[in-house]
Amino acid sequence: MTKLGNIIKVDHFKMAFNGKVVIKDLSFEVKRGEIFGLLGSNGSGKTTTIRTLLGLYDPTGGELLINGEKYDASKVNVGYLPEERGLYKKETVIDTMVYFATLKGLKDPRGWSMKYLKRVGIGDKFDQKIEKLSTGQQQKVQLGITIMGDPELLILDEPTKGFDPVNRKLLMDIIDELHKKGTTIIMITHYMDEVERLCDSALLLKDGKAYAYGAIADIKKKFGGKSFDQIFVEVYGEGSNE
Amino acid sequence: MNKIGIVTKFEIVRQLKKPSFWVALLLLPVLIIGIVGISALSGYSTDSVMESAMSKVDGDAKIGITDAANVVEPKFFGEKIVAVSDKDKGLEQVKKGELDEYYIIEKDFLETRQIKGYVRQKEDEASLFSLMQSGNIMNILTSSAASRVAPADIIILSNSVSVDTTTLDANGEAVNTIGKAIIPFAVLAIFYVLICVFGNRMLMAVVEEKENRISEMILTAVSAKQLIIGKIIALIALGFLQMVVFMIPALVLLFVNRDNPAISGIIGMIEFDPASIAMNLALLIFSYFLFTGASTLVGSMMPTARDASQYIGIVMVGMILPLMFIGAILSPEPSFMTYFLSYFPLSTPIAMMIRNAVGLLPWYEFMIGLIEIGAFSALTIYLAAKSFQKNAINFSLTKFSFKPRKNWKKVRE
Repeated sequence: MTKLGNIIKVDHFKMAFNGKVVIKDLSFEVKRGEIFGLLGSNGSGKTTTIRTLLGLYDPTGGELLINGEKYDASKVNVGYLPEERGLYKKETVIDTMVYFATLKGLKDPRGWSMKYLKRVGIGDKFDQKIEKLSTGQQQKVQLGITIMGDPELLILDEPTKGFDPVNRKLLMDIIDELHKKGTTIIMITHYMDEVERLCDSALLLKDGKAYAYGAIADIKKKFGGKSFDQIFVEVYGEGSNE
Repeated sequence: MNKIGIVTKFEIVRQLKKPSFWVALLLLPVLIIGIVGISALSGYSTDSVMESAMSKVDGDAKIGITDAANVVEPKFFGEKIVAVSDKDKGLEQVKKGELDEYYIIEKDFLETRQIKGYVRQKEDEASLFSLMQSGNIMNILTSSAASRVAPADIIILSNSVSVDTTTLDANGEAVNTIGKAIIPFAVLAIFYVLICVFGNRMLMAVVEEKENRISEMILTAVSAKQLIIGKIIALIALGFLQMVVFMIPALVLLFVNRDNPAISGIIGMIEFDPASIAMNLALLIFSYFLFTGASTLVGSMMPTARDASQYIGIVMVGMILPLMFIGAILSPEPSFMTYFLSYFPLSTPIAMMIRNAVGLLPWYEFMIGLIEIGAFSALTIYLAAKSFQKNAINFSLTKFSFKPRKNWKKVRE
């Protein structure tokens, strides 16, 4: 039976680092099975929100819940492709993937990994050290680690940053595939065309608060039917760090 | 397998696959075997060196000697070694090629202890090589000296006498202090080598995720606490593997060379004092936990191995501090320094092990030391786990300020 309702609930989230307030008061919910865009200029607190949601930071105030609880890796399978991403350079592709797959509780870590590597065209590289792979091939491995075990929640922080067109297409196919399977997806991106094309709802973060939040169509309506590119420039045009 | 077990297995397997690990693991035992083996062999041939020095003289060389001090035995003069009455004549013979080497031993040789030599450079030799020819005259002199004195004198003068002293206590019972100390000191040596070999490896293991930007990806699959505990267990297991690897060649060496007088002398001296050995082994195990905790704590607070290596030196110096104040440690009358080094957490391991090895560590002090090391090990491992959790996604070095209370609070948070 498919679970209904919200998978994520952020309630009056506040965050400060050494006295500097990054998030003033943020509340939002993400519905199960939707693609949610978390948008904002650089330094607006998007990554901080995700890291706190995943328990990497302790919030200064408020609650961030996944399935009604604080994040616990043993209770929910989350696939996270962070903005800062790397791999064990001295390890082989297959050892790295099997390690992550075992940690994520896959029944056949090696079998799944080999199948994925073949699918993305680097099946013959399985026994090579990561450092010997090209950047594009390493991105494929990172993607594989992110999506292994059909995660219930997929969080992609600037997923297409640095991706070549081939990997970007691969990522879009994977997002599409997982979305159809019912995976909830949170995307942090600066590509507004991706937001309009993929997302069901979005939140625009500004000055530590939700500037706009709701379904894509509702947000567009609020801004007089403008495209998300235009909305982004209007909201962050002045004072944006970009 | 739980997640800690998965991390432990991964960390152990990847270390075992690294050639650098095996180099570090085996290099020292191989060096020990080499050095001990060579010295054992040289010990064997002390007497024969005296007797066969003459055979080492270059048979192809024609050597002339003007011996005004009469130190060369006349019987060694013959076809290849000739007595030259006049210095100028000898030098002339070298120039003409009639002599390959010519040495002048003046009358005042006993005062000056110098011999003047002329060596003819061969066409195919570099000039530096001719310096090595001086070995010929030394071999002639050694053989001459050996032929004049009794074999017993040779043994005495060659410093190859071993004195087997038995110390008797107040009750007239034999006390074998050195023999009892050999194995406890070997245990101490293992600990010393471990901290030298494993320091950087521990740092690398802890900072690797941060350095390679893997932290965020892996921390969604395993908690920071599970990750660091898995790593610490792996490092401890690898440390014990290293201990075994150190012990095996040492034991093999002792067994193979058991008939060697030098080795059998040492083996004969060894006295198994189970209590003392057990105490140092317990100190070794607890101390390795402490070293692991302290190293991982440093690593967990730093973003890169390079940053961490600057601070690990403090841990290392603290650990080996007792070796710099060995006099205070070995003093039968403990001073303030003895107690300070024995109870300052980082220096406690080596200070206690040395004191125990020489029989200067009372039981109650051993127990206090063991509890102290155990408590600090637990504390550093706990803080390392907390700090790792807090700094797992700290990819840059934050400015360090010396505010102990504030920093302590931050670490505890």
